[in-house]
Amino acid sequence: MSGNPLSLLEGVRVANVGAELFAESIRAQGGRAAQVDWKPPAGGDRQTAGIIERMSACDEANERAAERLQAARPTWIDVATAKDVIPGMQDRMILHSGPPIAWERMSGPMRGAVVGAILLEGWAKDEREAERLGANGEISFEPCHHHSSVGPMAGVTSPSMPVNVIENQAPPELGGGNRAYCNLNEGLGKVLRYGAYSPEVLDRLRWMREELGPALRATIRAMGGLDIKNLIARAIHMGDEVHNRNLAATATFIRMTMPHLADAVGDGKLVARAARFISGNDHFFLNYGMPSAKASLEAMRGVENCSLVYTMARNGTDFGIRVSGLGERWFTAPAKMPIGLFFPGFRQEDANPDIGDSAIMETLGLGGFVMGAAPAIVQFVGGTPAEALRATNEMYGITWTRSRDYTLPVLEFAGAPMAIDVRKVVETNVLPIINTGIAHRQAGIGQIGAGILRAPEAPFREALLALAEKMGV
Amino acid sequence: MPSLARVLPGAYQDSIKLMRISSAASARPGVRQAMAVLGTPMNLEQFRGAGFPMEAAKGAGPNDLVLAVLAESEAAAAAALREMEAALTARPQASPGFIPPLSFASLDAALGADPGINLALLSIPGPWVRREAERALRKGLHCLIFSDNVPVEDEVVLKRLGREQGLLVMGPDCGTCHIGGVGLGFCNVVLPGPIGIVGAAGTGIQEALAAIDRAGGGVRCALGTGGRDVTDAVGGLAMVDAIRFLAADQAAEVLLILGKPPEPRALQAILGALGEAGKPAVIHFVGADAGAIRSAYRGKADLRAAGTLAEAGHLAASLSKGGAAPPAPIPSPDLLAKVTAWAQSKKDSRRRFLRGLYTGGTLCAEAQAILRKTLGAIRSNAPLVKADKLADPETSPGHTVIDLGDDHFTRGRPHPMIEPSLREGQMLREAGNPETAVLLFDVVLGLGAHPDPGGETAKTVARARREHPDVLCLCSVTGTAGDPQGLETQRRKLEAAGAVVAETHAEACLLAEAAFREMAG
Repeated sequence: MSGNPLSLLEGVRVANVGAELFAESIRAQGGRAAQVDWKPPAGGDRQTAGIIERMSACDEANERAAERLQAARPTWIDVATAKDVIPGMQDRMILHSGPPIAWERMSGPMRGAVVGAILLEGWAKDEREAERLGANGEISFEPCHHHSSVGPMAGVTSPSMPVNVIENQAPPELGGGNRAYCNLNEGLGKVLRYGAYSPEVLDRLRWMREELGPALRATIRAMGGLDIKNLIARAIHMGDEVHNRNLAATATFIRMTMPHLADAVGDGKLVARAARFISGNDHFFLNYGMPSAKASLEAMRGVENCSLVYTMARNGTDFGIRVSGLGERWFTAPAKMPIGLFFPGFRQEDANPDIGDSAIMETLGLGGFVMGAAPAIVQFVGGTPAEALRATNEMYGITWTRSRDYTLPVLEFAGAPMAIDVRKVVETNVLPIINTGIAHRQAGIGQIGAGILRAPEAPFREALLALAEKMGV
Repeated sequence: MPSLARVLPGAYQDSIKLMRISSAASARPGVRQAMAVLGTPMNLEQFRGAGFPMEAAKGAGPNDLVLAVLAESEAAAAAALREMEAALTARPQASPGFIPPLSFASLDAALGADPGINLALLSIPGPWVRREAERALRKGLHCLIFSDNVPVEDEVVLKRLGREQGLLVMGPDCGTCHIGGVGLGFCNVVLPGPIGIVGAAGTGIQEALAAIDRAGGGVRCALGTGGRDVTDAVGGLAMVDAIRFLAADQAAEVLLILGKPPEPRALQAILGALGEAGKPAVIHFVGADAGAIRSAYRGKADLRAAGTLAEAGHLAASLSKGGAAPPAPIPSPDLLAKVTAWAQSKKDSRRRFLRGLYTGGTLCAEAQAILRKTLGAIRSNAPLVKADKLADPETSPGHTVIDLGDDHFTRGRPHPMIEPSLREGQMLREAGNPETAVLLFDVVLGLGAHPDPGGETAKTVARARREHPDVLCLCSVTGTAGDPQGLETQRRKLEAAGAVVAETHAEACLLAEAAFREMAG
């Protein structure tokens, strides 16, 4: 509230915390009331609720961290070969999505993608040998997130793959200058990221490595950089939530890059192949959105006492988060099963548990968090635009701030709910909504649908308690 | 296995909608698999993979819609296909507005969406109130605490914080407020005007609002403080702050102060604040000795002490219009004649006692305050005088009045103002008690109350009168002309059932008093 307390008598605007009938009565009289569906904080656990109360030192830290997130200017600057640019990338190393995982615990699609990457790299001559290599420790597996990278679904990135390079062009005092990397999007259907590794999949990856990657490199170098934050902001205004819907973002991307691609590449046939490939995939932009979110969130990593989440990721077996004030430490729980809509011939039982680094979009406050802005795909959340608005609205309850740049026309241009605060998640017991593609549980089959789910609660609670302990409260 | 298919050329549809249609049709009994897809090469490959004959999709291109069903019978396939076609054109149920009222998981979230929020209304379990109210106050919100069971030390902490921040903390256990033209909690519909009410009493405020409305007055606001505010433990913090608040508000010209009798230090603080306010004020503390109050403030301010809630409301209305018109005499001659006639016919009856059954706590207190002067001890589960405490709220020795809003009766049940039919059993039991002469009760209208409390109670009255014709059913209706239930309609329903319906609660009490006087005399 601002201004003179006496203004209360001129008009009352109520936050009705508790019984909804009071809000209804106020509205029936023509008054304004916002309903707060109060639940006992931390599920009624007074000890945890008390800890949260005492963590007020987080506020100032979060404010500083959030300022870095707001200031981030993710810009696409290059396409390069993974081993040349990804920090710490080595021979016989495969990056994967989510928290760390060994071969033994990898799900079907993750193993499939690993096999595909081994074959692509030529480290094995066939599937059997590739599996043996994966199992016997000759390949080192590391999370993309440990190497400034992200990858959708299996997220499998191997040394020779082309990757998009995103640079956060915010000033260094606001955490700028860092870079993030992401492989190129292969399209839908049978693709490596969903665990498929048939010859057509590998042929496509080789073509992407040999022709598409260099073409895009020439393009972006000719362009001198592309402001991805701006592109995402516009795409949201056109109905994308930039996770499960990237149609507007991809179309805009094409519009902005094609003339430069044609100029830079010159070879008409090659331009046509690249253009046809990009145009044939509504999700091509996802692999720009994700590293942009990653580069933005990395800027607020490691702020002391900060309770904001800078990573949410899944590897198909585990779901994990990392919290700014707790550095690199993962907090994990078993990955949950997305509830979704399935392509014909597939059903819920075929689904693999939640997988992919793409929850980086929700970590930033997009994807499922801005469903209200993406009415075209509201069928994932119950089918009505009202449900989608409700979902977005709920996320304001667990986020620290609102984006200055990503705004939602339908909510009177309110900023997207940005930066998840573990305190708020535990206190309200409202869990982040994540939009996702759904992989078949068996390797090699690919995407079978898309859907939505909530993050598991345990990692947020554990991270909260760990932060409280570190802060000495 | 029977299969049916249809190709709809140029029938582009959103793919998610098609997936939903496919799943719904696949879930029908007797259907093995149903598909609604656009004829893209990838989709057609899946189509084949799912076991559909390719000729079914013959000629379908990427912009053509293919509907196909594999089923156990032709009939099941045909029904599923029909359903898919219908689903293509079905419109979802219209929602009432484009953006429905949204709810929030926390106060923070609500404030994020509407920074103009200036009041938090809390109706959550008492032990959690302090935490939420402290947050609200720190965010600059006034607080209205409907919850009860808030520890008194929490109340003091919150009210001190409110004072520091220049914000009102109304409650805990504050059921009635009227702010900015909006009734909050249980409240009556009143016209705007210059009277600023501060009350430590819910139905007390309502009874006064009814009197103000009847006298043609209007209300700037009614600020509740919760009943415990006027104890010395709390020291009248909220009442003092609310008085100061209204002192600073230009539009509040006349103050009306209501409540149960403040404890000494709280009273001093309240009278001090009224003195500083420098505005004409009417005071009524239910059960307090008006003379003692008068002598306490004599000469310090422009104050008037009223004898009853209704009189207080009337006086405030009259002052606000620049006059000091006395209220109509009570009890009215017509009703008095009616009650006297009844009492004369019962002089020899063994029915000797008053039994009051109240939905409104302050009205229950007012009944004791008025009647104990002439009838002697009035026992109650909510006694004005400690010695009159009922041992068991379920049994009535002598004259008793029961507050049905007491925790004893409301645990696990709605408040009787929301559900007056809960009173039926007790009313019939008391009417059937051979000692009961007069059944006294209240009917409270307004926002938050039952939509037809008069009608519900009238049904009980009719039955009590039928089964026990010797009992006098006496009541008042607390309501205003603008209340949604319709004041006159409610009164007529009760009268038609055989109740004597007084204009004000005080009048109902005086009629009861007259009846017993007549029976005794």
